[in-house]
Amino acid sequence: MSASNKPNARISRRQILTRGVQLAAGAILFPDVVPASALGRSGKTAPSNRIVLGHIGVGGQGTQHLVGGPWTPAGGTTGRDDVQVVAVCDVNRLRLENARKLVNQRYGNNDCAAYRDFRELLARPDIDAVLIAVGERWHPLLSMYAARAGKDIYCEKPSSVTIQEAIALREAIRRYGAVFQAGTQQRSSYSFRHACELVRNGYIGQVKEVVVGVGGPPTYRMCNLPAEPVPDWLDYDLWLGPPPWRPYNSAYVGGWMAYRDFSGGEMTNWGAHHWDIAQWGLGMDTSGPVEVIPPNGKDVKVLTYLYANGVVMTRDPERTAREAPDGNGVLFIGTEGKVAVWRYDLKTWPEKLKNVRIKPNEIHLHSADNHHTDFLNAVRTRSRPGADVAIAARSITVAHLGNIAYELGRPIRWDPVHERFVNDPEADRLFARAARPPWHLF
Amino acid sequence: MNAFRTRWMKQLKIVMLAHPIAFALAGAALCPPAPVAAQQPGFMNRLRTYHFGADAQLPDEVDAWVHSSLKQPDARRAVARRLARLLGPDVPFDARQLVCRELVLVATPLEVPALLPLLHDRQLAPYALMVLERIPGPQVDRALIGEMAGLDGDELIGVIDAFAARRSRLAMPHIGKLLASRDAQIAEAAATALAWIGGEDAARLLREAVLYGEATTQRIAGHALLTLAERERASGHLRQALVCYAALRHASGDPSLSAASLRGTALALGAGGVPLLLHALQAGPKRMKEIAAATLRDMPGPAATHSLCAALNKLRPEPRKLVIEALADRRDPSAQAAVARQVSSRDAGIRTAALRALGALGNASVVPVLLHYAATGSPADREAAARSLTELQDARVDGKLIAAAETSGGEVCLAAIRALAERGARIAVPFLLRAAAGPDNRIGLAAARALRDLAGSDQLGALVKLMVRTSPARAQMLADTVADIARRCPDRNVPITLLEHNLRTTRDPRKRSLLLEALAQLGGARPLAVLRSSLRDPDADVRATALRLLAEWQSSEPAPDLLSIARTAPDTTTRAVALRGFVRMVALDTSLSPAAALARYRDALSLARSADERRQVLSGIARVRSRDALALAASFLNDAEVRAEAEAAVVQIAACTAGTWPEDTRALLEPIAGSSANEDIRKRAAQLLESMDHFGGFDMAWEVSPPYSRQGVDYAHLFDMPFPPEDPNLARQVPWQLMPVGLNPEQPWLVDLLGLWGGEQRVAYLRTQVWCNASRDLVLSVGSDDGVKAWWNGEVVLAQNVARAVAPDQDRVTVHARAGWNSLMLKITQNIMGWGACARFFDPDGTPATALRFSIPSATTETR
Repeated sequence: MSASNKPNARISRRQILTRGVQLAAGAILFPDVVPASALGRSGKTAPSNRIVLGHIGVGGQGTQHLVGGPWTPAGGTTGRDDVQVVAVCDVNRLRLENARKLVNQRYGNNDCAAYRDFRELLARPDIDAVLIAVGERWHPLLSMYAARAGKDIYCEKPSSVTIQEAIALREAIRRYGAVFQAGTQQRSSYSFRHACELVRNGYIGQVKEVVVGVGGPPTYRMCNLPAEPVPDWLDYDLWLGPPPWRPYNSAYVGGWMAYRDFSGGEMTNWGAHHWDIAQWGLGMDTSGPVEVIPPNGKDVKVLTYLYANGVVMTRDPERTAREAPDGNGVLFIGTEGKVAVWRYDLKTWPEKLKNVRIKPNEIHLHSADNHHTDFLNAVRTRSRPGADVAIAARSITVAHLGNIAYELGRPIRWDPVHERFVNDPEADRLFARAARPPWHLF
Repeated sequence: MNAFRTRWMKQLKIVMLAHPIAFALAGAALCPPAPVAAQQPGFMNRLRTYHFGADAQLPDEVDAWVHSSLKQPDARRAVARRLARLLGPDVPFDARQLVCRELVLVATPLEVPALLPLLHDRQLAPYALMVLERIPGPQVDRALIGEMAGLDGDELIGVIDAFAARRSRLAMPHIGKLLASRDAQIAEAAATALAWIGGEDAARLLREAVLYGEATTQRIAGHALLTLAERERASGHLRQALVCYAALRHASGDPSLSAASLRGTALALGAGGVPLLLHALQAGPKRMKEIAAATLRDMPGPAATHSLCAALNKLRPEPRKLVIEALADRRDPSAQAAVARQVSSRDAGIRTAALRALGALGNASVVPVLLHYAATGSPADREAAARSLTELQDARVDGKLIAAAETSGGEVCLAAIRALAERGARIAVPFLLRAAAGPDNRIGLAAARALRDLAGSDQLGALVKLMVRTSPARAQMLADTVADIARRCPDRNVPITLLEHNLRTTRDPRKRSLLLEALAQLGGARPLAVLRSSLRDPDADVRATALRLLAEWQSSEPAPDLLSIARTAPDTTTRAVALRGFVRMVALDTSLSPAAALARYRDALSLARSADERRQVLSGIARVRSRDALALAASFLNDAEVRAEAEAAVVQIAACTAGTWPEDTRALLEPIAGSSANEDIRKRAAQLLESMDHFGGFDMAWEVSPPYSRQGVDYAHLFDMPFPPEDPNLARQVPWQLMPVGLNPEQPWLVDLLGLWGGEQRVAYLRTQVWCNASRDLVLSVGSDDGVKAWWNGEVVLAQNVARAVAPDQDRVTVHARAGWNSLMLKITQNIMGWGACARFFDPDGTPATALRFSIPSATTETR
């Protein structure tokens, strides 16, 4: 399941960290995971120079952001001496209390404030930036509210549930001059950057095909589970947010990603990562495909995207698994070679490409090796981080287009310049979705 | 055949109940096709009474019906009409929300009357609006306007939002009136809607509200006016946009609104907006400075660059630094000269920023100045200049760096060599080989280091030759260089042969040791044989090096050699090195059973003469999961010199024994939790004891298999793929081991496979034995993350191929227990993130089952 929808994941990951340290130390006791210096107690960064951060959403992924984990930068935000986490926010009281305790334990004080309602956190003028890790049903609106409140934003992926949300989010972030980093992580990874630099610099010749290994749309189009009593630790109305109302069921809270009302499924979950890499490698950060064709059981076997330059991109996890060492990744195919990239590594054909050094006068893509650091640098310098909102909006649009093509069961044409469908009233109906009042895009 | 069929149907039923996707697929195959759209479908009565949790396939049937109509206008209208009939108050919420979802694609203005009443129902209104927003035509706008009077609160906001989505100019006058609503949320919705609708009328309404409204209205309308202005600007309507920004600047007290209007104004003015931004940078409040700095990067065109460069010297240090950083991000090379002049600034921040910016803006002409600062600057300047030297894009830069390195000595030469290495300048290899052999030791070392990145297998012979001739320090660096390059060789036999040859022909023991070091880094049989034979080298230092390299060998292959040396070595140091290596290798050898590993640790203990050596062995014992390992570690609890390590080992092993031998484990943990001198150990012991207190009725006695996966196969497909534990021919070969439990006090019942194995897209098996006092029915209650398949006494009784988070009692199934021991095996699939399971038993009446005992198969075999 996803990083952020698994209540037990937080604990498990934390255990891995602790256990890893124990094993590394053998029987020689159990040291702290984070050194005191990393906790800001060594006086490295003056408190006045620290970026003051609030965390909104402290479930599985949100807690990893706080304290570090396999899916987030080591040590988390509380392990940095250039950040001070002063507040946490969650609609789940149990998680909220747990996160507050973790922060206070890390800092050795009781200063961390806990909020159920994000609006109270955003109203604090002392908070410079927020780290948002809830579900994508909330990501665009929360980010927009934060930008309007003058905060910079690190927001987990996926950045939206609809195309319109992605565009509105981009406009709002620009409007208020906020820094926005999408939590896609992979743009702060050497292997993905190197793969894309190889492609962009022509090391595999002219790109002809991109094969992306991600899962498909949500399992369920509709939330159809029976009503259950709302637990006293959950503010269900605020948890639900913009999607239309339906009675509470615990499966939604634990597994919202399976439901279309809340999520685009794996198309947007892992897709936010891998479509993004495909776009990066193709140099399409300000554009996108022009046609999307769903499988038809005949000549089109898999979801297929066509770009204006003739590149064909497919969603074909079986093929990436067959042709690359790890199915969960991206395979670029050119006239003179191939590059497969996935979490942790890349493979090239010919093999020697892997160790090619990109020369200074070639295309160098945004370079970062820690997604938090990249965001915080951008906050300080007011520059754009690697996974800026405009990039995130384009990448998640690719995923949404795929879901809409699946939904309609026929090809759709897309105008990436004006970001709208081409003469397709049915697809237009799926471009946006009414939010449950009082929530709405602005 | 019938028996097979019955069993197959039973299995299918389990899977179908377990997996909605499978159900849907099977449904599609077995059920009649969806009715043709124009026909009255058979499911209308079911749809009329549909409620959540029942009739799981109905939504898919309805959806298929709707989609089948999309290509035929008549059918589509008929479908919409039939669906709309189900929107009446006699139909339950669950059905009506489903109908609305389906109407999104097919509704026409004809369905509007049926939808309007839903706007008065708080829960159904969002579903109705989903549809109403998407039906084209002014009839819908007029109908919605007609409804407004009877609505308030969220319901009214929903309709206003619908006008926004529909860009309804018809509704604008009605929306405008709501700008002054006392309900701030309604006013905000109205303002936002005007911004979405856009145009001069909307802008006028918002401007008036901003300029003349009450404070709350001003703020609300201000944000909307900003949105509208931005859209006007993006459409090229700069004059209209500037009028809006001007209104905002005059009226706003909201800092983020003021900052945003500054940005918009500057961008609309183009290069003419630069002074506004610079003024904000110099004198504005924090938010204004931040947005100005960001906007400098977005100002298009060389004229803006020119304005920024011209202003540099007039700015105070902090804003000047921000402008230099912005110029670097703008990547307009016309800024090079102006930025280069800032390098001479007395202000350290400006200087460093300028040095850094030259990397993005400069050409080869800036190499000398960057080299100067990379060699002699402050630490910050050195770093900035060095990074810029690495990034300069001009093709002439490498040549300039080589020339500078050849003609300069000292720090400049060193800086040039580092830059060449960072730039991957292979053209520098001939120069570096000369420098590595040259008289200056620092330059020689730096060149040897640079060759590590730049030299190839063609230079291997020259490097080894240099290595055996040069000074010891440089030779050490070259040994690492040789090893690195050798590892990159496609055929490792080539460098191995080269190194073996030089070993035979080199007399200097120090160089021979270095050659051994390089050889050892290549691994494999030939280097291992050379190390073994070097144990008999006439030189003591070479022998010591060979032994150390064997002790650090990457596999457990040299373990017998090391044990033999540890037993027979006459001197303490040799014995200690060999023993440490042996202990390390026992831990490396994952193929050893717990009993075999423990036997080796006992061997090591018999040779350990110091407390340090006993500690090393205890660190290995701590990783052995067995009751005997627990006892062995516990036998050192009274050894004052290693007590802390023994306690840590006991606590670590106890997690594995707590479920199967709780009494023994508790007896050892309690004194540690009460009196260990180490706080962390006390806490961990107490934590495990606390978890054990809350094991409750959960079965915590488990053995676990290794994880299994198949390349390219995900968790859902692994679910039905048999691995050795479920294959009768291979089951005996499975290296089952004790499963650690109770490590998480918040979920003491969790058998945490993620914590043990980690990973994604894989499966693992858990097995346990359940003793029952009599033959009787039990309810097996399981929770899992993700899917679970359960075998009770060898028969599949449960199959849930799902992706989910674990919670107790997610699946229940009745099983028949025989008197005595019964076997239970679980297969748990892993998608991503959490991975684990829990299991307990109930009596058929729902009360917790009594008279049960849990154990692991090997222990029950002994007991029986």
